[in-house]
Amino acid sequence: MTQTTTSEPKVLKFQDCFDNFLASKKTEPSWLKKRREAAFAQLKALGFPDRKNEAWKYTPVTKMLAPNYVLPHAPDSSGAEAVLGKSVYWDEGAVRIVFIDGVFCPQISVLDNVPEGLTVCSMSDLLAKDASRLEEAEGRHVEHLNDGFRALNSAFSDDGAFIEVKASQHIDVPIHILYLNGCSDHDVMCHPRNIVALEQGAQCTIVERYAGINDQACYLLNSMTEFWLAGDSQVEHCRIQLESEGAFHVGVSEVHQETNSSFKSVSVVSGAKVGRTEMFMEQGGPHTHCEVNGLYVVDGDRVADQFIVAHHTQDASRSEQFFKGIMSDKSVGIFNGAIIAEEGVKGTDAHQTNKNLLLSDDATAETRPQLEIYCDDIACSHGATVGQLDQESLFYLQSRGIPEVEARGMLTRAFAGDVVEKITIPKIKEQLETFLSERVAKHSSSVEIGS
Amino acid sequence: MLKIENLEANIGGKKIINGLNLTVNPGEVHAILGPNGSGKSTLSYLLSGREGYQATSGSATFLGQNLLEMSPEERACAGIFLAFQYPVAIPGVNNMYFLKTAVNAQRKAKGLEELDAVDFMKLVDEKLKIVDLKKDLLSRAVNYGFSGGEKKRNEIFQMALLEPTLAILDETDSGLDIDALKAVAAGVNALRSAERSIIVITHYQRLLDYIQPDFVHVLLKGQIVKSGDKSLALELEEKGYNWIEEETGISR
Ligand SMILES: Nc1ncnc2c1ncn2[C@@H]1O[C@H](COP(=O)(O)OP(=O)(O)OP(=O)(O)O)[C@@H](O)[C@H]1O
Ligand SMILES: [Mg+2]
Repeated sequence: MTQTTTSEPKVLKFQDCFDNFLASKKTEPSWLKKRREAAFAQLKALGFPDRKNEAWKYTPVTKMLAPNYVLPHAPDSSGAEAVLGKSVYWDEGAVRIVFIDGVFCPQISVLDNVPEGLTVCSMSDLLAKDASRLEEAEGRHVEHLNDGFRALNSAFSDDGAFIEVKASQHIDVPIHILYLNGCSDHDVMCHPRNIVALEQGAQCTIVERYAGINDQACYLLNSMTEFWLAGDSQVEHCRIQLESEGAFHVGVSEVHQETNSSFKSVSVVSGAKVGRTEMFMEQGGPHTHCEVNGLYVVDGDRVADQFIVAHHTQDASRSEQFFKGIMSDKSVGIFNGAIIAEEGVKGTDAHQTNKNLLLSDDATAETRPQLEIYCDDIACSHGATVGQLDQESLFYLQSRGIPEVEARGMLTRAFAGDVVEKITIPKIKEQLETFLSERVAKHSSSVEIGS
Repeated sequence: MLKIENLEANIGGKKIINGLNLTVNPGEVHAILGPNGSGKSTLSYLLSGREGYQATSGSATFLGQNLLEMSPEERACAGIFLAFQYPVAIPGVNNMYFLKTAVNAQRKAKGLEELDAVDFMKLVDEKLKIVDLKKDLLSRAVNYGFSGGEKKRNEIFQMALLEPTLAILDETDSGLDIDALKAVAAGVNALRSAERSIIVITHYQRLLDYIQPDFVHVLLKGQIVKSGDKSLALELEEKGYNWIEEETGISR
């Protein structure tokens, strides 16, 4: 994609901020500065995506970029510490790295229990202590700077979680990456970059959580998380997006898998005014397995957008996409799911399911399967549904004396059940079940009875 | 207990219930027979309050209350139970959880304390003695993957748990093997009492051998055209419906 430098106001308004940012980063190594400059130039060349771009057709990008975002400085952790007291963020015995408005917060991180064979630190610490390791890690990154948000992340990102598991180590305790956002009075933007790297035969469980601590807050969280799975390694991943309802979220996950590795993920989205979740799966060797599940539950006039790509470039790779959306009020749920299988690749097994439940007449589900199959030896399936609560089931429950509101709640939770079931960390599963029950109860009762 | 007068209802723009009268007193068992499509299930939905099944005229009162103005759950809590002809499967909703929610919803409506898990299990064990139901069906999703007979047993088990004042059994016998039929009938008979009334909708005399009705009605084109005692069912079994059509001048 070659384009001349844009004069798009949406991009230009980041210029001053970027210049000041660079000026404040004088001590950074030159490779990093170069990378930032290249990324910003790329942003100027690409501009931000708009609705003419198929991949962003339903996403209100203009709305996301309307605020005049500033970078956070000296974040105020007091509010976050109070919130952290809530049990919802605790997982006894787990390793936990916490960021407040995108800035590493050692006081409320739990890193003294990091077991042998595991490294968990902030990118800012890694840069200070072992810049060459950071350069190596980031250098591996295939810079998929093919849209404005990614370029923006690369230009500005200066913190995030760095997680590394040594060969053959099986890490039993879950590792939580927790972003507590909306702590500032300003419209803040943050661009976290997380790296999770597993050596040969390693295993770990990652919980990546983005939470708004104040529902009025407006901010942009634009994150990228890279997963590097060496041969025979395994990752269980749970990604929870519960940003403030006035905030904007773009979260990209890139999964790179070597021979015989396995990645299993459950994404739960219920926050943000506009939230976009992207996942890219790619292989560097044969016999990989990648399973991504997702549940998005939105209300009001909010938008939950999922963009999922399984790119099969190696033999005998398996991918599964299983996503469910529950939309109420005037909300919009979007699922863009691609399966791409390259020419000559053998033994691909790729499946995709997207099911949507609309709880009001004004809610919308957009579901767009996209199949690009250039090979013959492939087992592939996809299916999508959009529906409402089953009236017959509703009547059955009511005919046993269960009030309509409760009956709707039961059926809605049942719909979400097979995604939540896939979460393997009991504590997280329990939390999400409770959370969803509350969410669902709210919407079952707001439905006009008899309408 | 139940009084239906001149009830009329249009379903899908067609008159399906057409001036129906029926009175059921406490402790009575009424059997309703009638050819396919005569409106038997429609009547059961009208009584239990299914959406889309609204009376256009006439009345139905239950224990002095105007049934037709009540929501399905209010009717259930007032004591009406419908064993469905085709019970729906509800994937994702655990049967035991469903039953407990139903029992407690009805207890709550009656101002009784809700049962906790332990007390509910006791109740379940007690009712399992009356209605023989494979225990693993309780831990599965409601009716999901149940065989036809298992679904029907689950209906009767629900009836046993909820102890309704008026139970409407819509073809609970169809699709049952002989042993299951006996088991279901035994379950129903165990619940018979001076206060509890039952409407049995069926096509066959077989079930009525086990559940002896006090009254037998013939439903034709949305109205009860003939009523009698249990001998009427035997006569229908033998002769079919043609003679009734001739006698009443109403054809299906
Ligand atoms: N929702 C509907 N829309 C249109 N027609 C309907 C609807 N529900 C019922 N009917 C019609 O009403 C008539 C009565 O149906 P109903 O199910 O009450 O019959 P039934 O007596 O129970 O028959 P069966 O013995 O076969 O169970 C049938 O002709 C049926 O097609
Ligand atoms: Mg019927």
